[in-house]
Amino acid sequence: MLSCKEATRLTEQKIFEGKLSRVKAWQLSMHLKMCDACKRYSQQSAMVEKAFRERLESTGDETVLHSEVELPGLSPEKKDAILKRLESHL
Amino acid sequence: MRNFTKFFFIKHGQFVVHIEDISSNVETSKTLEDWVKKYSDILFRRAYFLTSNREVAEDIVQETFLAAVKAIEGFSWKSEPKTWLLGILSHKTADYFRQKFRNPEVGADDFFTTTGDWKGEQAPSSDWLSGTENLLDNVDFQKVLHQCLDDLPEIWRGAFLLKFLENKKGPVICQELGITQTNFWQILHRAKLQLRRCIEVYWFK
Ligand SMILES: [Zn+2]
Repeated sequence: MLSCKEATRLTEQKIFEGKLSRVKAWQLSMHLKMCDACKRYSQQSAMVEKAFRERLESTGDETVLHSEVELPGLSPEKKDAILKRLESHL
Repeated sequence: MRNFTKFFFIKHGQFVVHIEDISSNVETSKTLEDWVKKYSDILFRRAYFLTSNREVAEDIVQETFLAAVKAIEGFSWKSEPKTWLLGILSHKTADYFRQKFRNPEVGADDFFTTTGDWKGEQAPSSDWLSGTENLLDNVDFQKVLHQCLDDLPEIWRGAFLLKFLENKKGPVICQELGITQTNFWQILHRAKLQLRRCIEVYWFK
């Protein structure tokens, strides 16, 4: 029987790599059947993953309002500095 | 630096892109200037979300444009400049996180006992009733996401975010970071435990 620490680590490995070896997948599913806390962890960890991925994608969407969540645009000074550096590279 | 003008015409029902090399620095310079004006805010927002550090984010945007100048011949005019630039930005941010991984520290275990059981109140004890589906338009929930990411030590943050930046498998990531897979899983595990806990405390309770 896996410990909760091992079970949650395997949960992360599964989210990260998309799959587990057959033995590990079986051990994890046995643990999750018997342990409410780890079962909840695995559901909530997947939600956390999804929330951050979607939030990250929305930072590339100009139709989303960003000022309200304190994500500023680039300062005009830095824009000028970048343009100057680009010119020197041409 | 070479330059391109594009012509589109339809052949056998498909768009075919014909690129003519007109070798003009003026044109490239103009294109990049337009891109800086048009996309630097978006690039900065993405970089700032990823790093929570204004100076670092500014540098990453600059690095991105400098890399874009060098690579502009490889840019396919069929694709959107924004997507291409965001791709370069992902690699530049991944490079930044990789540099931070020289001596990763995992620290004491706040979540589990020595036998691997959940420590008291760290165990997820309640369901998140609302889920997160409808929350992404909620400004307060977004603030919680930002706050929780801010609270992560930088290396943990890197372990969590690297997979969003580049499509790479665990072993490749570890090799590039120069750490063992065990160490990487430990860091990622801790990062996720803390993120989940943070979101629960600030949002669901
Ligand atoms: Zn458990």
